[in-house]
Amino acid sequence: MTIFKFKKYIDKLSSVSLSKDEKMVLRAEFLNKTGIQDVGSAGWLTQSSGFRYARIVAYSFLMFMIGITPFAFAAEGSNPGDILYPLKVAVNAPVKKALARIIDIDEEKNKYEHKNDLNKKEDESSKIPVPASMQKITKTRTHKNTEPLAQTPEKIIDDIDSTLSDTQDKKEGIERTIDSRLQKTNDTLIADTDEQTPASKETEKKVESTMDKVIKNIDLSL
Amino acid sequence: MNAKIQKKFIELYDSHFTPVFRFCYFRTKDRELSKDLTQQAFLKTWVSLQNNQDIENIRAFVYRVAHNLVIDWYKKKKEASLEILTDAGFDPIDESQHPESDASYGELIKILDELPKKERSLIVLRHVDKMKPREIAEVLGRDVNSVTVAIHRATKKLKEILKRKNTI
Repeated sequence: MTIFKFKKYIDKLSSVSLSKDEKMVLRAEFLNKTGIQDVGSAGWLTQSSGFRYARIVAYSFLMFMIGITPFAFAAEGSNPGDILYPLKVAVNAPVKKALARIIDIDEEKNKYEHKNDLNKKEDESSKIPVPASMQKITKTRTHKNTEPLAQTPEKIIDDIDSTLSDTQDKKEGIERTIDSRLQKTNDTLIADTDEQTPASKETEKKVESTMDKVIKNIDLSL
Repeated sequence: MNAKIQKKFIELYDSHFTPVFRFCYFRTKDRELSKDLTQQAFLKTWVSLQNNQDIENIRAFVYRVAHNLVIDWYKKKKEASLEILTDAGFDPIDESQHPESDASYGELIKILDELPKKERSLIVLRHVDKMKPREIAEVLGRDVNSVTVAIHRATKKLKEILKRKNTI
């Protein structure tokens, strides 16, 4: 309870403050004395300026609209001499005019678009049908015609010749390298076989001698 | 002076004018005088800034200047209690001039008046202005430990007074 009372008391002490007018006067006096330019305005100053004015205007406009709408509807059926007739003349008529203008603009736009569509359709239907074969020819012709002619025929032939000779040279070069490589591999193979011959000859001789011995033994045993 | 410093100082002025005013008001109990003292405190701080005085904590500095101004005012004028002032026709809150003021402000000040002067300042600085004991020590020119103890005592006393009173 005491804590609650204490908090309440402190809150009441905190509520002691100056009025906005007092603050503004003191602030202006301070700025004047110090020569500080009003570079930034305080929150309590900005709140009371444009924002509040805009809000008042918006609210009043809304209230006006809400207030006038039922009367405007009621005035629609009024005749000259009725109480609501001036409202019909002053409000309903201009609003109707404006709406009619908007509607007219829309209608005209729609009409124009519709007319355009019809014209397009008519144009398409009036076209003479082209046979499929003709269409192909025309297409290829147009394709050829549209291709840009970059070089003269002589130049193109020269280019082809030069590229052919180049490829020929390249081919010959490749063949030469292949031949040389084949030659090298043959040489190495021959060399290898030459190196192996003495050993094989010896073994052959050995085999032959053993065979002879075996044969001789067989003969002897027989 | 640099435009940035000017802007910062005006921001400080806007945000701290009312708390400093309150600090002065609860001690002088005079609205107009408190306004004047607060304005003077800010002007003196601005002059100190212009003289390139080394200010570590500008908020505490403003409060310290205000505190010194109040002491000077006390020295010049004999201190009068609220009762004497009211008997003499002084109204601390003229509600016709300040319609937003609460009618119970007089009672609030009466309660605060039951505390010694130093404790009043401590209550206002600690609980109303939400200052830290370190800052309060800086403002009052005392050490932090003694300030912390004094705040505790003052709060306890105020709670006892409020317990006795039924007006709040």
